Amino acid sequence: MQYLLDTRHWILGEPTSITSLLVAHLRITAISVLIGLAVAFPLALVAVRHTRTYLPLITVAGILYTLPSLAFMALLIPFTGLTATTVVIPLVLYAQVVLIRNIVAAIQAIDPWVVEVGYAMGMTTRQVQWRVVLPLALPVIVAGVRVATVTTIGIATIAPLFGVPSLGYLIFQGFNTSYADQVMAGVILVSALAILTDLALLGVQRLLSRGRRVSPATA
Amino acid sequence: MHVDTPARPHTSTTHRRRARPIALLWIAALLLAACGTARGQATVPPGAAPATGDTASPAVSGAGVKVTIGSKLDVDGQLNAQMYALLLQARGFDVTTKLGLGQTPVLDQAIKSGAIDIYPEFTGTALTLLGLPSTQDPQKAYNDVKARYAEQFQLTWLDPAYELNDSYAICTSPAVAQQRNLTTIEDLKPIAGELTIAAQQDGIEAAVDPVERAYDLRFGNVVQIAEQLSFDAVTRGDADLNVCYTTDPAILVDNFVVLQDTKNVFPIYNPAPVVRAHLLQEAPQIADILNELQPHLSTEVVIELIKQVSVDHKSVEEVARAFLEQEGLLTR
Repeated sequence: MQYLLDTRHWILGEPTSITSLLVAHLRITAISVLIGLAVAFPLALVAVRHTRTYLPLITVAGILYTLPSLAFMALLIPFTGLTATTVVIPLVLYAQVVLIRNIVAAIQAIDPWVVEVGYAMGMTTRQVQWRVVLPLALPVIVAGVRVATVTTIGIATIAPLFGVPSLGYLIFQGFNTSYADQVMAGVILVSALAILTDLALLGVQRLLSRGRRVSPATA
Repeated sequence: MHVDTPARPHTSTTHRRRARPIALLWIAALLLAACGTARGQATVPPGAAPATGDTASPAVSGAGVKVTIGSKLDVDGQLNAQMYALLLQARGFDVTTKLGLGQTPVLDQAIKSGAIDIYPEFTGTALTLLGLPSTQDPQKAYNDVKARYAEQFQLTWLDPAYELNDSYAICTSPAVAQQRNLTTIEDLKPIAGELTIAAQQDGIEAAVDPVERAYDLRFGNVVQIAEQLSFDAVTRGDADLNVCYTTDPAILVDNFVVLQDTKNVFPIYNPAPVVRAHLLQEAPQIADILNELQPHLSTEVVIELIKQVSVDHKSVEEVARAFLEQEGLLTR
């Protein structure tokens, strides 16, 4: 705990300070999840419209998820060098299984009668999509984002092995310099970051499902 | 990475009310973090050496040339790379450091693809990488890797630190050494079958196998464990011997006994800067600057420097800078 409590390790602007590493870790996570969503959304919409594409899509995403992250990133070095891109590409791909599955499930779970009612009230297709389908689907989608984000925070720990700063620096550097306290600080911070982010997104999920019960399966 | 299904949320309103501001704060933080990258700060690596204030005078040779220096995770490698960085920086080079990258394959990929320009590599490791037989002759090891790297990869090996040998050894705790009466590897022969040796993956290939062959013995049990943890394993009695790096300060700190290698089976591992030939064409003075460092390095010196990092917990940069200043290679 000493390492964590020592204020010298929190100095702003110091590249290996806890503060800098925390920001760096959050940054990679945020970029990866946001790009991940941007990729997953259109794919999921295709899968909803053309149900035959769902199985191949989710199978490919599932296979990508099984690739070991260390090897995947190492293979990218000749193409993307030791840059954030090398770390972000695998993270974006890993997030696809969870995100696509949840977005598809969220849309499919909407009672077709509700959509029908929307049209019956004279709404246009766009209005139905934006004011009926999206609000109903969002809580389930956010549930997927939660799982994807926590996973991403975990895998982003290995980013320093590819020259990209993250809290994993404390773990690797501490281990190699026999500094158990530093390793412990890294482990505690990564866990805390994952738990706090998950709780925050849970809050968002609750906000979005105001007036409705968050179903246990997606909570 | 295993992710547990999050627990079902509480539904009490007080909890919900408290969760909301926290949620908003964190989302704001996430968004801010995402926006921040637009300024391209995400590529600043841990330990990146910021350009020092001593701006290069026009007479200084390296002004403006961009150099990226990498290293593996091991402290020896990080110290060497940090010294290269400080020396080049002082001559006006625009240096970026990416220290503590993954294992050998990551660095090998990175330098071949140009993601880094320089990194310290050991002659013995490069021989293994090239699939060439290891050797006890430092000059031959160096000449072989230098020739092959130049020809195959357009990578130049600058002068190695011949006095610095970061090789493998068989170590044991003072207690085991006394109890079993061990001073040389030869002493193991009659009892090896009863002993457990702890070794890192690379140590099994580079130390356990050659020792078993050369000394005609077989260890009772070989357990694979990280080198840093193997000293503890022996102290606690989970293993009787460990494959250690000859520069590991734990040998000094824990009074470990290095068993004498009477048959000279361990290959030589001298570090040298591996530099992209393209960079040397652009700035040939790099060779002289880094070659000047090598005679100052030795196994004893590096053990002391590693100790300052691993035992006293000083930063790699601090230790490297102090050493270069003490040797007169860097002016304060």
